[in-house]
Amino acid sequence: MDAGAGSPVVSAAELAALERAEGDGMPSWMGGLIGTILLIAVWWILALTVFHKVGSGVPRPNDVVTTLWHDFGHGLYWKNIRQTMKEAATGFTGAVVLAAVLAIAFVQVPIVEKALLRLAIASYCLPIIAIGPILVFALPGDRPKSVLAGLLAFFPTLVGMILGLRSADTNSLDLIRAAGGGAWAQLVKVRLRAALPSTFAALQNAAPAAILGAIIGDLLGGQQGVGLGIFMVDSEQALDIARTWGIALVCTALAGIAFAVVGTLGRLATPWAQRQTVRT
Amino acid sequence: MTATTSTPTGITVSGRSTMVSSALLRLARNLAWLVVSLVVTIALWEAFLHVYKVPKIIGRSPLDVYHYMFTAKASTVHRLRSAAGNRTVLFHNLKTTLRDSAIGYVAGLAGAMAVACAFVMWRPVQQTFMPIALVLRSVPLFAMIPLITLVFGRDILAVAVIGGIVCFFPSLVNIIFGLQSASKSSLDLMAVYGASKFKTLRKVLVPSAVPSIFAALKINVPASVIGALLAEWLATGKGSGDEMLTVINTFDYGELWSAVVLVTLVSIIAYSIVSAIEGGVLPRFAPDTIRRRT
Repeated sequence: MDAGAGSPVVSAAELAALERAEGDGMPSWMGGLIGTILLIAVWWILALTVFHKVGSGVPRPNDVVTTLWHDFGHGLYWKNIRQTMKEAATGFTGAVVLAAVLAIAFVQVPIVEKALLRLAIASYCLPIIAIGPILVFALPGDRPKSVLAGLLAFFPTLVGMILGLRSADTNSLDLIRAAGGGAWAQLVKVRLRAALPSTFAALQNAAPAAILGAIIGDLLGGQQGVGLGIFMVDSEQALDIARTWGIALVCTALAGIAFAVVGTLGRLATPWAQRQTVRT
Repeated sequence: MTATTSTPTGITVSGRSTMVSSALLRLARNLAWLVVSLVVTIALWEAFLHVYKVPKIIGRSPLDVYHYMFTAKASTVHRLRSAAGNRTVLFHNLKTTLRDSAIGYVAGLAGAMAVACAFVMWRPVQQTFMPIALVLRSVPLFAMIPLITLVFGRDILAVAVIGGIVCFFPSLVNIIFGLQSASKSSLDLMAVYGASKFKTLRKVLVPSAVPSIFAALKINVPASVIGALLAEWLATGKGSGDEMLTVINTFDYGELWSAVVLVTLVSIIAYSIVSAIEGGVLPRFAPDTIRRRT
């Protein structure tokens, strides 16, 4: 992977920024609204026509919402959400710390990159389905799920950070060098700041990935009985289709919230980055 | 593999033969570093087994995997296959998984390419469907698979849809970004000469998206394997994805570890090949990005 070599991995926030800059006609939320209404309409029509018989796998949207409301009222969701988010947060934090250390090492000491970048790629190529069960036996408690969450978040984060560190302005780097500063001075004074926009773009994609990783972890080896993935499998095996879809919706919402929160944090932390994405 | 290996040689010389040979050279160098990485991997692998005291019945060391694949003897008492028998099973499943990955890879990429072009050419389409795409990306695929098998069956079509979905979203975002990064002056030139939308797409937008398309091609390699394994596990019931979960129940962990090693190795090799091609092609389309990287 030419991770350092500027793979243009971009986030949706950057796309949105591009769009706003070129925006013509309707505001972007209008498009989103129309799209969402369209999606629900298609779902509803399919549920009423092609999949109308009971147990066909596609419930009607109103049934899903009713079940969701009822389940939330009875407190079925909170403990599962808390558990899954805890696993995801642990894995995400670990992955980000490791990625930051490695990214800095890669950029400062090129030979380390040559030796270890493959490993980072390998971590992304590992078949999660197969190593999940192994991890469940090897690690105690919730650790396997956190590790899976971290595995999904690690590589995209690493790529984004390396890309950011390498994207530092050449003139600024030259200035530090001319003033007698070495690679570390360049890192502290120029590169770390330059890395922020691309890092946040990567984190924005890594946060939902970590949540999905935790859910997959539940599916593969959840003996504890708590967690959204286990909840989903249980209700699917109980043929409670409306609840299964409700849980899927909640998972989607959680991933979406994580995406939005990291995106907002990124915009607040790097206000100067907005205009850079629009190329002239 | 890194910025330093994509030196400006590719920029100054643009003959096809030099391009091919520089790509081969890059591939060779990558393979050399692959050996170094392999050593580190084996060390980490052993460390994992020892630090976490993985039980012998589950954990397999690199040597165990070697034994399983190359030196194991058949035993009727323990109902064990010989190494050759093991290899037959492993490669049979691997072949299925490779085919399934390739199907998902192509389906996802073709879909993303078509949708990205449509989005860029007709802005209202993008404004309406991009938010849907972003929402759908976050839906846990696992929850959708029963629906997918219901609609598309449990055969090649389901493999294409599941693998395609996994590959589609990362590719879409990257390719759209690439298409939109075309230079304004080139676009103005096309407008001045009265070029059609399609001609502009073909002559300006797609060439300027080449670096992004390669980023998508690379991300798609591991993604397509994940998609294939998921499809095999939950839909078709054939190939490594299914086998990996079956052998857990029969405690044939030798096969599980070997399959993990094989699948990972194949993904990395495919990834390296795409990277090497990228290194040869990119200088022709985006010399700027190369220079900026160093």
